[in-house]
Amino acid sequence: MAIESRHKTNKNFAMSGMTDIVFLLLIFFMITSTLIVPAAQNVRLPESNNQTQANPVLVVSIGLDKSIFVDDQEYSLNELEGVLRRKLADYGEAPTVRLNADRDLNMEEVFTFLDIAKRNRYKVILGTRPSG
Amino acid sequence: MDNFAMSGMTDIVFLLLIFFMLTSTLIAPNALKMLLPSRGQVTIQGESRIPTVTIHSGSRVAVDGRTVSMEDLGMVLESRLQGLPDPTIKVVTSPTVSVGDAVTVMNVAAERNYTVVLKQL
Repeated sequence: MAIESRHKTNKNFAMSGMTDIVFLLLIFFMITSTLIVPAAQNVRLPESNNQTQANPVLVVSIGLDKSIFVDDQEYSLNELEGVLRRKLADYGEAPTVRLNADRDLNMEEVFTFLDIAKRNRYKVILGTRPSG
Repeated sequence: MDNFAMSGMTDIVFLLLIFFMLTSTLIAPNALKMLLPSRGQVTIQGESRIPTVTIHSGSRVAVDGRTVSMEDLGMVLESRLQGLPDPTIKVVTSPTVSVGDAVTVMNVAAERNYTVVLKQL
């Protein structure tokens, strides 16, 4: 008498479902890897090849016309400290902020921002672009 | 032939997936750390030994009051900081100096792994 298992496995491996998921992940990582370099608002960044591992939680851009952007939204200098405090309240002790300043901007404007950062104990990294 | 051979394509897609996953984690943004002098911080080993690089408007650079050219800056700093355990320089900028000039000086320091403390004149 032939003993036969009642549980028969399907010999054909169904790959299409997995391929769908892998495709989806591929597209996700392709898009995030291109979005990772934030396009600065009409700011021409100074050149430097130095890289930092610090992970900024938000980006402050100051253009040559002294316009101030926090993550793509424009604010006046008076609003800036309040906006930063509100946005960075959830990020613990010393959150890192990336400053994208135009290369022809005067340091005076940079220091008005740095004073705010110092008062609130933010770490600041200055955004640059690779030279050459 | 009614069987669509998917395995080859799946191999390629997997390879691409792994490539993009790795590159997206390895990317480090180009940026310079900005350190500010804090009130609570006590400087060890006497602050007088830390060279002060002053940038005046018009890209004029001076180390401890002595004017140097941008090309010589690295050499001057190297001779000043040779053998020190934690080389630090203070960069003082006048208000009308452009960000680009300050970054040029900070680059010189970053290339040599010096810590830069920024101050306004």
